[in-house]
Amino acid sequence: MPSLYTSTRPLEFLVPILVALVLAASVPTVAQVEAVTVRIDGMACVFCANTLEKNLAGLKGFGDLSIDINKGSATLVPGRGGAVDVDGLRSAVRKAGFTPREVTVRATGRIDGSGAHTLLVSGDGATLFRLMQGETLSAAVVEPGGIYGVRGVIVPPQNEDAAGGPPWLEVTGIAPSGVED
Amino acid sequence: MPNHARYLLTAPAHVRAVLATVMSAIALACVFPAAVLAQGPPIQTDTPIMLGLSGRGARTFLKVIRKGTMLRDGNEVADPLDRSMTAYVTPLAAPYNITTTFQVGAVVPFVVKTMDMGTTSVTSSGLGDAALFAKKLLVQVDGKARTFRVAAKATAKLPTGDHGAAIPLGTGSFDYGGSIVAGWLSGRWGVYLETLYLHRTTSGAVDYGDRYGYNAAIGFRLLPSVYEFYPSPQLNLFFELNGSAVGRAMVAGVENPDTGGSALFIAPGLQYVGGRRWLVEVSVQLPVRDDPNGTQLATDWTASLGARILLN
Repeated sequence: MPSLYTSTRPLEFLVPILVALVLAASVPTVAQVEAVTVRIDGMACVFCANTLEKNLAGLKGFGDLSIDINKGSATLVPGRGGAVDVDGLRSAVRKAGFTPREVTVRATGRIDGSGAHTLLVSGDGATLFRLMQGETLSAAVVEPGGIYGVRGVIVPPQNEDAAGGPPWLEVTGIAPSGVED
Repeated sequence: MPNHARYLLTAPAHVRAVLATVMSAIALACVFPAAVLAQGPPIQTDTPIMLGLSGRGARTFLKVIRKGTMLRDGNEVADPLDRSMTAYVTPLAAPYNITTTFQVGAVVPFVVKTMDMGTTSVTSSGLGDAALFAKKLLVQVDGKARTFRVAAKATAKLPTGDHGAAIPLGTGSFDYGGSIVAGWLSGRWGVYLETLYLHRTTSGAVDYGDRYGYNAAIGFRLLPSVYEFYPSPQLNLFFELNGSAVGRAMVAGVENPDTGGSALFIAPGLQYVGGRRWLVEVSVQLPVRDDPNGTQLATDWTASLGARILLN
């Protein structure tokens, strides 16, 4: 097989350019929620998952949806800059006839530690999540102002003072290069 | 086997068969871990789950019922008229979910009945007795990849069939009743239990006997062994027991000895779920006990071929 660069075919010089474009497109964009996964109890009947699919597909701000029957979970990919309406997500699962459990998210954003809480902030300055000071976040070496990939479980507010505003995230993974599921 | 498997079980034994079915299902579910997901809705037995194809799916099937053995007090006797009957019943069932825990619906059957008597035969066809129902979910206990649900169902049967036809297509009575249905799904297995009671009323001088029914079903997903992402096609195997007991009818205040009776059928079935919007299924009912009162034609077998389609 001839080398890519020694090919005499006229359009093959475009291949490395296209590859570079694809790679550039696959680099995580700064400040966005990349995936939201809700674990669902009671999803034992495959024939009734359609009701779940229909309810989740109707949620605003989400794009792609996949239902993993074997794991008992559904994963939604939000639209660019989409906020995470956790209550709406749980309500949709309940309305579909199942029991929602923990919601995990994978997001990329800027770490802001200038206030009372550590925040994950989007490119336009909006706060995506308030990060809980759990073991993972405490052990991580996090540079304020840096861009990080964060994975975590959304937790309910600990008290009334903490209620309102962006959701709390118990961080289970954090890395400057992004985190895997 | 003469009269098929009709007398395989005695009366106490058919109760034992139901219990054995339930116990077998529990034992099997304990042996096989719930690492993979469950099967479709049962074919002959009701389900407490009112979602997806069981919630918004219209259902229809062709059921063929063959009665060709004359029994007198449980023993086969020669019929001087050489009678046999074949019925083709095609119900259309359409449920409508008010919520995911409350469902109403209607079942409208089209019936063709043919009575053969030696060399002559008589056929009647048309609308059968339609039914309206409402089902309410009472219990829902969800776990990871498993669920246990119980529902109550109220049913009203309407006298829409022509009971004055040469071969009656309906009873002419307005009947009503209720049922309780429970379902437990885990892994590749599903177990369903149903008990129902129908109070039958009068039509003209006939006061029909009430009907008690009980059903048990075990479902097993044959393929795929591991169900990952929805939707995927799947093939399910069912093993069901369908039993009933019907009281004798009164005619002008006098009990008709040749009415009512009890029966228990074993019903193996196969079901193919083609994705999110449809499934097809086939089931055969064979009598393990058929004990009509007095002298009556007994059911030799029934066969059902059906489909369910998601409406919206």
